[in-house]
Amino acid sequence: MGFDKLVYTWTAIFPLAVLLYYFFRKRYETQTISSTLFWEQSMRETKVSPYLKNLQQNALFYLQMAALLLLVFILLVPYLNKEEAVGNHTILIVDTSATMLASKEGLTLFERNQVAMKKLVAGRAGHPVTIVTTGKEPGIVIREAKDGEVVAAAIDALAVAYEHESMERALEFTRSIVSSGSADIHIYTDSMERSAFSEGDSSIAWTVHGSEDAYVNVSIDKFGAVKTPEGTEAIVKIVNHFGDDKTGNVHIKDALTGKSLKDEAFSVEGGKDILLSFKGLPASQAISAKIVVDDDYEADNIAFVLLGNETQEAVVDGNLHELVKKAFEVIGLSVTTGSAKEMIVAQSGSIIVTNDVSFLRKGEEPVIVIGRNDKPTKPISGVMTSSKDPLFTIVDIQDTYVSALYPPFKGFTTIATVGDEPFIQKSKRGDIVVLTDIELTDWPLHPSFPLFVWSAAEMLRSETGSVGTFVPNERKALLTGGTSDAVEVFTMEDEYVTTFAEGSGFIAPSRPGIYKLRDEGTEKMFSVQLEKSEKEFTQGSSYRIGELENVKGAEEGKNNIGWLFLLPVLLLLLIEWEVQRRRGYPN
Amino acid sequence: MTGQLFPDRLTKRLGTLSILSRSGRLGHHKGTHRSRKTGASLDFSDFREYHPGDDLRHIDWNVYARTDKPFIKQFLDEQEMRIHILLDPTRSMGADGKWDYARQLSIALGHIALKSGDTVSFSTWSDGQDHFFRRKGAVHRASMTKFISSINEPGVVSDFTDRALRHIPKAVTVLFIITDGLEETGKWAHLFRRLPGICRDIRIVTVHSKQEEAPEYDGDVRFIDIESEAGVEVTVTRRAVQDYLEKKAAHEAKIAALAGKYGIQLLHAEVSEGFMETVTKKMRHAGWVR
Repeated sequence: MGFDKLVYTWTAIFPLAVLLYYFFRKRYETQTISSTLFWEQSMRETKVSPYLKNLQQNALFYLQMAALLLLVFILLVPYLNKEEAVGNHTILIVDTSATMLASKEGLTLFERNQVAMKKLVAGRAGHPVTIVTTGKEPGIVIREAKDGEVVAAAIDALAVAYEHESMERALEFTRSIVSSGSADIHIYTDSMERSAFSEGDSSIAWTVHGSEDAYVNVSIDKFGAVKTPEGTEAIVKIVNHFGDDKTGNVHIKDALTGKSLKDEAFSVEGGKDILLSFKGLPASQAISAKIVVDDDYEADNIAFVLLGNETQEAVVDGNLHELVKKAFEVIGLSVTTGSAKEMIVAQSGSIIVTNDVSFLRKGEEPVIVIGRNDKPTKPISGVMTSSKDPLFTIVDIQDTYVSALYPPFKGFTTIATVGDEPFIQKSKRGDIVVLTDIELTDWPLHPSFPLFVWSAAEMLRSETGSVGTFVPNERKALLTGGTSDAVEVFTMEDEYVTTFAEGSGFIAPSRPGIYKLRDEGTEKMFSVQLEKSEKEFTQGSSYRIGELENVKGAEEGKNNIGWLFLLPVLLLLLIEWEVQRRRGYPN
Repeated sequence: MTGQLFPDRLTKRLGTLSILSRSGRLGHHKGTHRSRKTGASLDFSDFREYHPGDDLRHIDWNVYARTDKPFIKQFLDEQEMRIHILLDPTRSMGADGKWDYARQLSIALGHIALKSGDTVSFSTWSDGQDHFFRRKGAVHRASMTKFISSINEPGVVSDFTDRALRHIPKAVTVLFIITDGLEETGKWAHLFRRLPGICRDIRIVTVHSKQEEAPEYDGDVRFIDIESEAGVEVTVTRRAVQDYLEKKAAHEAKIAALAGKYGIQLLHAEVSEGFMETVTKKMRHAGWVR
């Protein structure tokens, strides 16, 4: 039990006053007289004023009136100055991260929040409501909608986006919406620290609706697989975020065919983690791991891995100019400088950048060759032209000046020329050859250079048949063919998901899983995985920060207790009955 | 005690008074009051022609001698009066010296009547016992004084008006009722309606004490009714007293009006003025005694 309006304790004055009145009651001196006939008459007249007398005589009438008025009052469903509270803008910030899928008693936290939100807006019909979803890019679902049905429909249409909530961004975004005026902001999430609200703003009231339930959660923290000569080797790290020991099964499957590769039971202590390794799995392009365990949060019980697309490293030949290494660092690869020997070792898992033409014949993976170490250059002058190769979809090299070129490779496709001489060539394997040294051109000074490096790296990676691993809703530019064909995304079951007109506008789907990307007839795969922060469920609490000066209305979740007034009405009717029984009908 | 309540010397002061009544209804015995009928007193009244059947002894032979016609000589008749004194014995009469005053008044009236040779009856009652006294002749004055003096303080709680009728004897010439009148007017009306059937000359003396006439209380007082023991809490202010007096006056006016309606005479008496004063001045002034 709690008290909502402690402010009204001042009304205790009334009972105290009555008590005091009793203390200071008159003390009467007793006097026996012949008859109190006249005193009684005179007192009766002074005591009972005409109004009071009227009240006495018409007790029944007044009681009935009171009961009826009270009933009318109840029927009107009174609410205390609620307009003032909700006259302001109401903003709902909805956490759409994967952790909201944690469920209890068949209802996910998200569904429960939807119910709570609908309840809240139902009490504020006719007042502007804005719904903001969280994520790296917070979105507005509806803005200042006043129609209760529209708002309810919008709330129903909300869906979990799996992406990390990035609450700071959502808060910033919301603050920018409420740049002027006041707002009652309700945040529906699992947990949120009070420290997130650094600035106090009197015009904004923040109400955080956290989840106070503790959820049982066992998750796949990490899942990795590598190809070895003995077959594919996979490692699963299972973390138990719950206090008690948990047992379950791990199912390793081929994500493409759905064929079960391995099943294993596991047991993990409360708060601990275990590592399971699986050796000698058959070769597969994509593997999924799923744990079957009794917990409240399903979304993190499955993980995917795509094999052979982990190229995140580049090895740059030490003979090359420092700018080349810098350019590869800029596009986000971890770059090491290596000798020829080291490059040979690393060739399978990294992008090799060299001027050693012998690499064009070594290994299986394509390489990037800048310059030639076997032939001398000869000066050149002419107009730079480039073909419509995907490599140049975002790169414009026409302003670039090249002073000298190496002779071209025979049998390679020329994709850019200076005058008539080949400048950039592609091999059948996919190697990219730039027939000049960095010192002989002003290209590194152009913005197109890092873009070309990125395009080249992307191209080499995409040669492996997979696009990579994304987090939900990740926005990432993809290197696609320069044709007008759009990029289409399908699930593994060939269900259509979405289409992007350009590869640069690609946004990963929100639901974790393996997807197919269809571009100009080629099919590549990518996987969407939950972020690590979404695999852990934090217990939070509900609280309120900042009070709107004129907020008087009830908070969300307070029930309408109008029906409680029915009890006094009933009592009143009973009193009436008694009065009537004793006195009969008033004349 | 007896001497204190009604000293003998006062009897002499009352000696010259007699009760006056126009009521023709007298007692059957001889008394000192002239009757409208002719009778056997010494006072001559009239002559009347003789009719057969008249008493021959009453023929005035001297007139017969002169006129040769028989005439009957008639004399005035003198008969006694029957006086009844009814004393209100309710407990309210015991307050503020009203009881002594009322008894003194009863004795005084009794003495006046006894001296005139009338039959005097006196009645009152206490719980479970009726007091009744009837004598004729001045000799009995002392015994009457003694009888009335010996009546204890009043203790009756029930209403006077309810029981009064039962204590009034039949054939009463003059009925004196001594009461304080502190009962609902409705009850008085009920009593008054039935009294004229018993007696034609009814005289009510309402006894009032000084405290009743002019209350001298102060502050917050809880008044307890001596009879019903019901309490009334009053903050005594001038206004409250004014109100009280108004109520009292209205009550008395109502009773007076009722009495007038039924031909009952009413006398307002106060304890403080003394019973002698009441008898010798007020009653004489009202024409009750002479």
